[in-house]
Amino acid sequence: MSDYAGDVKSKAEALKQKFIELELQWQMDQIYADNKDDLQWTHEERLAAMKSWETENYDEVASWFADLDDIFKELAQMPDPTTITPKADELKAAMTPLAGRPCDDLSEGESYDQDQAYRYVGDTAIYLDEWKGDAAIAFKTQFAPAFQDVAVHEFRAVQSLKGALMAEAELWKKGREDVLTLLKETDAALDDYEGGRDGAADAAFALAVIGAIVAVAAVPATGGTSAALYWTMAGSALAVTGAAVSYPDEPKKELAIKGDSPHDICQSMREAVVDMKLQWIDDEAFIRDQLYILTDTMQGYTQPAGTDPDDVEPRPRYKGGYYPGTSNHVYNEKTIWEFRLPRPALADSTPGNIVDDDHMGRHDDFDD
Amino acid sequence: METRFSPLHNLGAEAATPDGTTFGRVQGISKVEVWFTPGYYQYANDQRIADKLEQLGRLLWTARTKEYYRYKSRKLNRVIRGESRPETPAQERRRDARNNIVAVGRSGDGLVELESIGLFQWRATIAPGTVPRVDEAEFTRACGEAAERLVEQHVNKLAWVWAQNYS
Repeated sequence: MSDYAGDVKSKAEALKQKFIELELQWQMDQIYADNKDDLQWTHEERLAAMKSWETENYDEVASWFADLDDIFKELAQMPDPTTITPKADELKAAMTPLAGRPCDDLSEGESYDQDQAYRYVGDTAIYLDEWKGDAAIAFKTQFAPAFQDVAVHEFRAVQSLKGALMAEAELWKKGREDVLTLLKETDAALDDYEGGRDGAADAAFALAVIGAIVAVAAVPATGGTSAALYWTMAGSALAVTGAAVSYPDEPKKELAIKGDSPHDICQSMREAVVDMKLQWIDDEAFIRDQLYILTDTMQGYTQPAGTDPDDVEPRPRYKGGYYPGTSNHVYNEKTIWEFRLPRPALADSTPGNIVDDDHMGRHDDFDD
Repeated sequence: METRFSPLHNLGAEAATPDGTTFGRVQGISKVEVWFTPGYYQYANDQRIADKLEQLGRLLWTARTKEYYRYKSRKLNRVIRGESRPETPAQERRRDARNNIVAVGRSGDGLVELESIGLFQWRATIAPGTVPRVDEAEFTRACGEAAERLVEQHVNKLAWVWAQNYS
């Protein structure tokens, strides 16, 4: 990746200079407006007049554009997507052993084979047919059958984390593109102004960031049709978790930078920067909500089936807790067990009962 | 206008009259060169050459405008064909003023005088008896000089016109 920060800095600096020079000319032309004889100036005369005016007023005019330094300094410091992507890739190591069945990572369309460890899990109860006792029953009825489903659900959960990271990386990648586009568009608007032209009819440019994150970020908890299919296949109560995706708000799809004077163009650019930032905030909030929804689900809170996709939201949070009763979330303990295996009875064994037939169980051969 | 950063300084465009006799090139803001197909100048007269120059002026400016939009499309990576319609009455008045800028340029030796309205309508006046008395090289140099002065005046006026408040 090229040096983004340096790129923005140098382009912004050049742009600021261009603004200052054109504004100086604009201001000077206002002052000489009453004296039309000046229009007969030769090129040299005009340049000379401009030079002296410029010398006296440069600092004043330059101060009107001083804020551009801060604006672009901030934009130059946007997160680096290439540092986020590796973090997402690290999660693949966690997903491989969680593939209780052949799984697709919907966030990037990668397929995972069933991990070898699960090959015989489904048949465990048959192998242990003759193992009896409390621990055996608990193991065979609660632990073993759920094992694969829970693993797959956890796979999905990790995939959701990964999706969020990928969306975050994508957001800043596109965001950076948009900043560079904004610089170019502003520059072009100034070219138009300088050449005595108005902007083109299609002066608006689309923000690259729009929709960039939805595809990956929304896979996890809400899922597209295929994601819902996975929940269903896993025999989960979670199939109810809406099949439709709620999209992040789109405050502005297109930005146009235009104006009849350099300062108008600059103002239009400032507004475009604000619009762009609002979009990023919205996108960040969307990613955050996806993670909140996932957390809610794992804690047993889901919204009823048929909730309008636009109303799909996490439980309202405040520092250190939740606002009770302000959302339509329903608690269902069963949902928790979709992501977690019951504690095996064996784990509660003590020196006193570990050899107890009723607890540990025994092989049928020893009956009677 | 003169800015260090302007891409307008690096744009170049060429044009030829439809009969293939008269050619011109504009480089940067105002540098203009004119030349004729070999042998044409020697057998032409003042009026005919003046007509060709008027035609060439319009074509050259059109080519330059096209080149600008080609440059802009490349820069922004989307097709830009030209200006939008005026969005406000003020903008319309401003454009009218721009399109009616009258600029004049005369070569130092007084051989050629050019006048244009908004760079789209041109009028060329050649000192009587110039063609073919004056050497072709000298004449084309005079054309270039007149055109250069005209464009400079146009640009000066444009800057002023463009900066006015029309609302």
